[in-house]
Amino acid sequence: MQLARVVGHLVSSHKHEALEGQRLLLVQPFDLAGRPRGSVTMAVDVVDAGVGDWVLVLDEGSSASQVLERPRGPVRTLVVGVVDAVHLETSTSPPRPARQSKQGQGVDSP
Amino acid sequence: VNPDRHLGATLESLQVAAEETLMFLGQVVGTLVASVKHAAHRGHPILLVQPYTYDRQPDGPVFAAIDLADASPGTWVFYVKGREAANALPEPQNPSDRTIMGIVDAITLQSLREEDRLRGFGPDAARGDDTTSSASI
Repeated sequence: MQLARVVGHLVSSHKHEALEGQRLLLVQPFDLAGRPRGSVTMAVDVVDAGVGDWVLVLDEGSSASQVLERPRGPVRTLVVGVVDAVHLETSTSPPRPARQSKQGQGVDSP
Repeated sequence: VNPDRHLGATLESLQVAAEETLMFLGQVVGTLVASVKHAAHRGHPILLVQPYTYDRQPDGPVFAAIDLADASPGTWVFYVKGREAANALPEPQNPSDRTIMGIVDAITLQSLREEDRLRGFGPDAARGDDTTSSASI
């Protein structure tokens, strides 16, 4: 799954029956540092997301068919969640007090 | 359990290559007639499609695709690739790798910067914004 933001939508009145009644959103994938990655793509919306929302995008055919509750069809990419917050702990977070050091990496005190 | 390893796995799964996403925009630029073709393709026209990005830049060479949307040259369409292209056809076993799924009536692509301004977020909230076009076909 990928982190993305909804940037628009696509209107199609004549489309494959697997997409009947589905909203088609345009999403821009982002990395966890908040930078856009790759190009804008389309995803089928199952959570009522809107433009500007941070969302979770699923991109795998068999999972998509389970979510849509139909046999595996032509849809692989779905918006499956609206993201409220992302908390990421990385090595760039403020260092905590270190008691021992191994190859320059701090080890947390107990 | 090493929390760093766990975090690494999470990061990796969130950062799957975005280039491999699946529903694409294109414009029909021609037709292709094949009097001899795979049985699963009978009754489905083959069209030539110029792929585009969603901000309307040409995105690679023209290819042939099975058409399920009654499109014609000049029509903007969206199409799928890979396994899903074959799944789109009624016959379960077929050799299609690109299938036109629908006709595009309109696309709106909005500026995230503008959206953030409307929501009352500061300029920092819009960092990384690279989509600034807004247009309809």
